[in-house]
Amino acid sequence: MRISDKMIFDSSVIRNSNHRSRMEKAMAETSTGRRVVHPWDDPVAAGRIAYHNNNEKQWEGVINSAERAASELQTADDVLGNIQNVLTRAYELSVQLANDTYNPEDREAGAIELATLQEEVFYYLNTSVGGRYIFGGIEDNKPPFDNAGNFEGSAIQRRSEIAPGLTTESSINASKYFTAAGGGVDAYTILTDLNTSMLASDKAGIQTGIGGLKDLITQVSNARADAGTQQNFFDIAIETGMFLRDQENNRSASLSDADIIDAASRLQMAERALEASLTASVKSFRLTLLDKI
Amino acid sequence: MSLFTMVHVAANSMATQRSKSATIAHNLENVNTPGYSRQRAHLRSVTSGRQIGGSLVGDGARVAYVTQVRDQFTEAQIPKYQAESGYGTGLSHVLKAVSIFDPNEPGNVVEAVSDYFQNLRELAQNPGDTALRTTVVGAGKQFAAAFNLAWESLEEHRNAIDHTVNLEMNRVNQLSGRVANLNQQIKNALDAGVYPNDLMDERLIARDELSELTGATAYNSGDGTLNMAFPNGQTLVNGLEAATFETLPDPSNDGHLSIRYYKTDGSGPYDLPQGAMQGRLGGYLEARDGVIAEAQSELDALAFDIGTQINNIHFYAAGKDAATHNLFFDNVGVMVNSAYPESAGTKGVDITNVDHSSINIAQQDTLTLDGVSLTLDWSTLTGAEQAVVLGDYSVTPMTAADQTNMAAAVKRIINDAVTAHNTANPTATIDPAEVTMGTDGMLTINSTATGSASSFDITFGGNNSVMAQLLVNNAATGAVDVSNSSTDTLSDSLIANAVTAVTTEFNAKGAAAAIAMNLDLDENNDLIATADFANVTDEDLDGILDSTPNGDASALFSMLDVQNLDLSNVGNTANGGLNDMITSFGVEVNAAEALLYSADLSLNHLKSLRESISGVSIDEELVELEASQRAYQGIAKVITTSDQMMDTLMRIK
Repeated sequence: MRISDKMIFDSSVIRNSNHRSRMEKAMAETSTGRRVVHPWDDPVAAGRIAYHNNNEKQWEGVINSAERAASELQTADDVLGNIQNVLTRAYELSVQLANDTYNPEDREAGAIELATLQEEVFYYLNTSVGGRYIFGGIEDNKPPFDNAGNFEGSAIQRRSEIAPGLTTESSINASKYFTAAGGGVDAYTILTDLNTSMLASDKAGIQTGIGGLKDLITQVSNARADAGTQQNFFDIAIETGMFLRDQENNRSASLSDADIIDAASRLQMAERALEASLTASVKSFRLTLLDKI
Repeated sequence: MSLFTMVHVAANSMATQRSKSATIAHNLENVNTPGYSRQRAHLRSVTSGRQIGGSLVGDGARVAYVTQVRDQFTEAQIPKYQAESGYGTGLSHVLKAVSIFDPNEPGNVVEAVSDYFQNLRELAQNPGDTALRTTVVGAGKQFAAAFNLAWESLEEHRNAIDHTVNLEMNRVNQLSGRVANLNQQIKNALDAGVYPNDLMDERLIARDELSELTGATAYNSGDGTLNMAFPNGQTLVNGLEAATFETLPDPSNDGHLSIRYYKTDGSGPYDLPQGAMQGRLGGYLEARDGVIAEAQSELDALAFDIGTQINNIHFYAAGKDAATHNLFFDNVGVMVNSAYPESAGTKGVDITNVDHSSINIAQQDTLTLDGVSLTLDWSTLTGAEQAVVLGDYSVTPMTAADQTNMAAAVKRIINDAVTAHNTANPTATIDPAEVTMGTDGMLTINSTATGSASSFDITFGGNNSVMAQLLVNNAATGAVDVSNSSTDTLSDSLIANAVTAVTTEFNAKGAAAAIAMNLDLDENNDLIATADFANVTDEDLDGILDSTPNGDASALFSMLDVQNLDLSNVGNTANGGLNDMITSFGVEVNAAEALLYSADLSLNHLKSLRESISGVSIDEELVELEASQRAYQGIAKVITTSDQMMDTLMRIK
């Protein structure tokens, strides 16, 4: 083939430019650690990276949500434990004061302690965390129980996500476990009646109240079991969410991250090729009759 | 042959060698000139009529002609690949400037969509929390801004293409004019028997550039002129005449430039059919009206679908203190949600501060009043009535007089229909209607006899009919206020139909550019609706629903579901749609790159062949020059020898 001088220069430009372009790409991959920067670097991977990143964020949100719900349920369980202790003390006090060895003055003094215990129970039931009443259902505007023991909260429970598009209850229904609405005994009535019986030194009334207290303590145990079950849901959700989030992260990383060893070796090869190409170009430029004649 | 003749012939031959050297010098001087084809001086021996020994004696050498060294087979193939390479260059060059689909670009649409839902998710954990509500407002703004910026960025690319097309079309006019002009000069030269080699080079350069720019193909006519035409057959250059082009904004393509042309005979202008333009300009136009416009449509569909779906939930859900009927996003639609027929608020709509100019008075509505169906012919509105009914009150709201006149115009049309009915049915007449507009800007239609119509319904004549428009408060948002008040005169289904009649006018086009956070929510984030309206209670028993349980995140969960919902315009979930958008954009760029690579491969090969044949080799030219110099020296020796012979002769005594 006949070779003109322009061909020598043109092909030198094209060859060197190709080598430089390959070197630039390998250099970018090596320095950034990313294989896909633009959609055209790998269209399918680029789309999937965005997809997996979104899913990862979504799972991250679900995990946060479930962790918060689990934490609130743990608080609810702790508070219910406190209530159980208070009620156990009320039970012990009632059993003690129902005994014939105690006189009306003793029972009157016991009534004072019982009133304090009752206040404690409702103080605990009106516990708020982060401005939200944990036993008020979806009602955050006011405490779930008023001074007369009326339930002012909502029977509709809070819900939290355990997976995208899937929610479950994340609060304890106080109206079910502390009022008669759930078919059990009403905490306020039981404690108030017991207090009245103590003040009146009414042993039969105290005995009735003891039975009610037993039921109430059972109800609190059930509430704690409910909290435990719900918490379990969220613990599983957190574990599952973390696994799936990590999977999404791995998928995204495997698509976007450059293989540094591969990129570095390609960089080395491109550098060598460019060096050789430049040397060849210089040689071909020099070999001319101009220098010989 | 005399000695004098010998000297004379040698002198002529020396001039011939000098001409050859001049041609070689011209080649060397143009060794780097683009498009230059090496030239060769073809020598011929000169034969005189003189005879010696019965044979004709030669009279030295002369230049017969100087030609270009060109291979027509190679040259004929170049324009096609020049055009393909140009197309691929134009398309990929423009598309590669788009960065909004880079998967890891901070603040892109993908991130904004994800962050928006993430903030909704966090608010769902504590819907009453003011700080979280503020972050949701921020995320909503960021969501809208990301779509706005992405759309505008694409639009900027389209505008930049317009600018480029405009400049390049001027270049096309120059080049096609240049080819026609060179045709003239070449033809004149050839007619005079002269080879215009350098002019032909210049024309070839113009041809190649035109092919690269427009995709035009070229063919030689018999008279030395070169004709050029677009791939669809539209002539670009015909002999000595060239077509001319102009660009002008096309209203049907969002004001982007369209191309018109005047034929080579001067007639026109004519619209250049879509797809006629190929080459680099074709690549630009394909990027502008194909790939980038498609990406804008996909962004529109996504913004519209997400925005509308969020609005459909948010509009009917409750914020703090029973706040309801607020859009989350402006400038996208909201549909009547059949799941919330009893949504609170005031039925009817305020029409005093909106633009009615899109009302179509050709659409006839049907009003059922006291059991009689009446056709309302709005085309009979007088000029003064039309001025009121079709007024734009979005800047200056209706005055009290406007309201009175509006009610009077509607009443006149209804009662004309009532009169026509009563005339046709004298035994079954109905009472005329009473139409009023209250201070709340609501239009009320009643029977004059009973104070309220015993039966009332409206069938809307079609999109933008008068009644449909008057029953929705803003065609731009499609928002409508519906109540369960006992004093309603309009039914929920009627309002629903009104909204449908108008919202069918909504489409996704431009949604990504227009979508905006409802600023009312920014000013008062209590308006962010998080709760199911069914859970809203009447706290103080005054009949007005006014207390939202602020721990209720039902509506937020419904809004979160939008993230994984199959969206109608997108045809996928939001995440899936984003994935498709990025992938398809990347595929388009890669396709353009592949076309460019393939065309360049062929083009570079052909150009290499061209160079191989027509390019100047300094080595070769130096050898030729050396040969020419030797010949020159040899001929000079002839003159020296002749002179010595002459001298010898002169010395003979």
